[in-house]
Amino acid sequence: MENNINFNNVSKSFSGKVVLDNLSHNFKLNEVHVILGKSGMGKSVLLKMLMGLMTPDAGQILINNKKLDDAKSIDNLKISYVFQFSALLNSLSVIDNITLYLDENNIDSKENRLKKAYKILSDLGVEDSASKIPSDLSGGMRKRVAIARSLMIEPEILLYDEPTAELDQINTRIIAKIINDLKDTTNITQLVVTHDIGFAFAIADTISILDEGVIKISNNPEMIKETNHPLLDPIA
Amino acid sequence: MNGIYNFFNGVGQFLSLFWAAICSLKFFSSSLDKIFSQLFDMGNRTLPVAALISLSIGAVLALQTGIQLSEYGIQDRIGGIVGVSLCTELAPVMAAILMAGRVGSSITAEISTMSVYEEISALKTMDIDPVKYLVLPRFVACLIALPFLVIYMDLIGWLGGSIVSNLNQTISVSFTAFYNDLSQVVTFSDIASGLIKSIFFSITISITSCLVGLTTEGGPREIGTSVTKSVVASFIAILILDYILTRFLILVGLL
Ligand SMILES: Nc1ncnc2c1ncn2[C@@H]1O[C@H](COP(=O)(O)OP(=O)(O)O)[C@@H](O)[C@H]1O
Ligand SMILES: [Mg+2]
Repeated sequence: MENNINFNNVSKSFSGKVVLDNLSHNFKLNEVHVILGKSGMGKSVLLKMLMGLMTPDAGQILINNKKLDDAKSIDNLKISYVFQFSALLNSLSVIDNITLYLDENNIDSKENRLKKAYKILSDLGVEDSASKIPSDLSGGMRKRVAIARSLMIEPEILLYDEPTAELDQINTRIIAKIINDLKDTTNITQLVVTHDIGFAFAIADTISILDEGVIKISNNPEMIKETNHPLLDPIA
Repeated sequence: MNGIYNFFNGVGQFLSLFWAAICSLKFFSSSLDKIFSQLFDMGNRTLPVAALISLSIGAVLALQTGIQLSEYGIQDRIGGIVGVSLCTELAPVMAAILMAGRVGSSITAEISTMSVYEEISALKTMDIDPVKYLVLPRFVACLIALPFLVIYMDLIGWLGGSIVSNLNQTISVSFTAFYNDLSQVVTFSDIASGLIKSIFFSITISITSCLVGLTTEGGPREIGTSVTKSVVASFIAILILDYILTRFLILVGLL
């Protein structure tokens, strides 16, 4: 059996409004998987369920055939989440945001925490912002810091919720490069939710289209292009 | 029906967050720096205003009662009256109202902002318990700060009363006479009653303001709504609790 993330008949409604409707899908591990979908289609809900921030009304989510109950960890398999608006703590400096996970969970020595944090910040090109407050950074910088914070957890699965929303083209390309570099240098499974089609094609191994509560199509980018799905029409 | 449901739901959530805060006390020692920084912030927000309020309450109280007492020629009793009213009732209630308005509101504003911008969710993804990280330091700091604030307001209120009693021509009671009477009338249990009240008030304020912050949902507009909700809920709870606690303290013979 191949390693995967398996959504098994997952449903979710909010006050009667069905968002995910018996969704079943397999996401292969160790690749970049992009989920495309119109706004309000339940992309964030899907990611949050995988993170354990929301629970399905029905159905289950399995990772490597093990049930995800509260998503904290399965056999120490770690999942991390890059939030749409980065969700950095504005009461802390960038570097304190980055070491927060290790600080609060008492992992490693203070010196090693900082060493690790600066290494990741400089890998992402934001080490100069270490002492700044997140709200003083540009959206693109904040996003990179948010990715750095997620990487500190050393996740096996990394979820991105619309990582390029509100970013200009240059910053979008920087984020795409970060995702591609992670693909080349690590085994992290990356699940990216977006409605930016160009960005999706720049990073994806597999693209899935979420529509009307289910995953309608899922395939590699070349095949997806040939489907001429209305969502791929940039004017639609 | 909906209102009744919401009320009991709110009380249930309050008790469960209170319990969670008590359980998180085992992390007390590792949270000391956060507790101190909260205490410092609370002091900054309340001490100057508290001085002003208690000075003027003490002064007005002395003026009104002093003039009445002087009509019967018993103005030398002023110290005891001002002393007891302040430490059993006025200082604890005013301190709590001030704490809810200045500190509770800022706690709710801060935490509801964190909820709206998914910072609370981000903490959860990092295995950080928001109760331990956010509620514990505020809960403990409030528990320490409010009784201190009450004693501070007692002392400044008494000072205000004694100044007016001394300077006002009709009352004209010397400082020595004022404090002599005060020290004879005000008992340890009077001061203790005020402090016992303040402990209940402090739990009410910190837990309510954290709870409203943590349960804020929706967009940035909700932050303002939450702050108002938290302050109003704290005010009402303080006033109702004050009556209940006064009855209780009379019953057990402390008042
Ligand atoms: N916590 C919530 N409470 C109520 N409704 C929600 C909640 N989260 C999401 N929804 C609803 O679910 C639908 C899908 O939301 P979402 O997953 O955020 O969409 P998107 O695909 O744009 O990320 C929306 O209609 C939204 O209003
Ligand atoms: Mg979304």
